[in-house]
Parts: sequence; C-alpha cells; structure tokens
Amino acid sequence: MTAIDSVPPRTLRQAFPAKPFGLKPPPPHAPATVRSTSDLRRLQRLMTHALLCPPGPGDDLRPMWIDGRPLANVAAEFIKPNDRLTSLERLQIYRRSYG
Amino acid sequence: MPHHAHILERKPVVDWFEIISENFMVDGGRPLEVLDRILEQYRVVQHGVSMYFGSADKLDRTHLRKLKRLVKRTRTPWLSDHLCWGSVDGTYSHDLLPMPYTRAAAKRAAEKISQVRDYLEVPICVENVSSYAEFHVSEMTEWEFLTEVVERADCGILLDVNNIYVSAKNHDFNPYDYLNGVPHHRVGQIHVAGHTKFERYLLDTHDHPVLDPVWKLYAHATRRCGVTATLLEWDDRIPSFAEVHQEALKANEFIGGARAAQPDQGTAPGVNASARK
Repeated sequence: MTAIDSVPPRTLRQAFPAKPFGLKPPPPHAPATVRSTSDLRRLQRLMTHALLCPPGPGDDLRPMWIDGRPLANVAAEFIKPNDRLTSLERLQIYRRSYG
Repeated sequence: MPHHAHILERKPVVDWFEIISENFMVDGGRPLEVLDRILEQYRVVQHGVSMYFGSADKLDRTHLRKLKRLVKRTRTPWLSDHLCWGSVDGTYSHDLLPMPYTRAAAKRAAEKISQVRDYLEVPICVENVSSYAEFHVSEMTEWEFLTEVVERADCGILLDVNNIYVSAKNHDFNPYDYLNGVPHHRVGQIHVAGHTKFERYLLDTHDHPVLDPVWKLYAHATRRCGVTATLLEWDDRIPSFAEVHQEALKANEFIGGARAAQPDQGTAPGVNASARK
C-alpha cells in the first residue's frame, strides 16, 4: 500500500457529483499561460474534467484521458511534480481526500 | 454544531465563534434557531467555503442573496472565504482547489472580492488554502499572489498558519518566507488547526490538536501582525468542548512577543462552532 493509497476516503465534504451537468468539454491541452479569464477557465475546465468525469474504479481517477493518452501525461502538462509526488499523484490527493 | 447544547447551557467564556455560512443559509429550522440563541450571547463571525473567488465563473447571485440575509442576521464584523476555486461552468467540485499564481488570475479574484464586499456591505478577508498541487503556469509565489490579490481588492487576509505549513511541506518552500512576505497590516484573522502527516505529504484534516511547528509559526505571525483574532478549526473527530476550548486557549501561550509590543491588547481565541459535514 503506497502513501497515496492509504489516504482515507473523503469525509469532510460532499462526494464529487456523478454527472457534472453543464461542464463544457476540456481543452485538448493545458494552456501554456494564464493571462486572461478565458485562459483561467480553460485550466479550470481541464482540471475539473480530470477530477470528475468519468471516475475510474473505486475512488480513483480514470487511467486514460478522453483522447486515449494516459492521464499521467495530461496531469504532467499542468501540475508540477517534485521528488516525492508525481503530477498524477498530486491530482489523486484531490480526488480522494479533503483539501 | 456538535457542542451547541453545552454552549447554551454552560455559557463558557469564549470571545467569539466562527460559523460556516453555508450551514445556515436556509429558510428556517433548527440550525437558525440554535444560531439565534448563540447570537444572543456571543459574537459570531461568518466563514464561507463556496464563494470561489478564484473561479473564472461569475459570482452566483442566488448564493449572494442568501448570504446577505445571513449577514444581516449575524451582524458579522467581517466575512471570510478562501482564495481558491472549485467550480467551472456551474459545476461544483465542493473542494478548495489551488490557484494558478498569475496576474490575470489575481485580477479576476480581486474583482470578484470587490463585488462581494460592495454587495454584502461587510469587510472581506480572504484565506490562503492548503494545497497539494501547483501549476506550471504560475508566475509568482503563493504569498506574492495573495499580496497581489488583497492589494488590488483592498481587502483583509485570513491567515491560516496551518495551511501555510502544510503547503510549505508539500511544495518545498520556507513557511517563514511566506509569513514575512504578506502585508501584515491586512491580516484581520488567523486560523490554526491540526493536520495529518503521510509518508510523502501533509494533509489538512482539522481532526486533532495543533502541531508544535504550527504553533511556532503562529507565534512568528503574531510578532509580525500584532495580536490578531485567532480561531481554532476542529472539524472532524471532535472531542469534548472543554478539550477544544483548551486547545484554542493555547494560542495565548504563543503571543508573548506580540503582546509585549501591544501591551494594551488582549487576545481573542475563538472556536469553530460548526462541523463541516
């Protein structure tokens, strides 16, 4: 069991909605910069899609992105890793725990 | 509000309580009855979890109307919520998601804070969140971003020193650089809380006492900001009221430096009166 696996299920807030009504499709790639509200919306739409829809087994993120790429590659486009946590593991913390 | 019966019956000496606004944005019923009885005896400060100043989306006018009704009811001296986002296209994650630290994002957040303050007619304090992810697009540090937002919005800061500590460990920055880097004259309130250590990161869980490194940060914060209204957050696995209150009062042990500089001021440790479930 890894440290990420040992994160307790989220208990302090509601679960993510099963169907994110109204959420528009994500951009194909993460914005290279956020210099406008439109850029901000694209980044937030991307992260929301990665977190919300559709979930993988249990409380996990889905393994593959909409276009067939590994979700790990997509997460690496917009989230910084460090020597302890990959970009995907950082995303997983939000998926599985209270932030 | 697991300890409301104790509070109403025993009337403990507590300077003020913090409520989660969203738990009381209802038309009636038991929560408001209890709140009204608390308000007869205590000052109450409102703290929100779903304004999402950092979302690209426009403000939710229905939410604001309900919030204003509650503000009139509580006469809260200020209102706080988080510098984060959690919704897009009207879809809510019910989470406190981190911001990209860019000037455009700061400008957007500041605009929304100003709109909320103007509508609610109450001072606003924005709280730094604990975070587990940072974005490649960020142009500045988190404390530079927080400063950019509050200077643009001309608003206050709710400085959560536990969140600073958690984020510092998760992102490898010095928490004292953060504390030294924010505009201290804008800090209107401080949060302290407990967190959980995992092998590779810290998680902001609010489910046990404040850890020593956070108290040390708190002492440093009060030396820089002065004696400041301080609130202990304890939202899960909540022990007896006496134990929570005792933990809140520990804040007094760490403000010696600030008190020496401001001998005429006391402290104001408060207790979060609401579970966030």
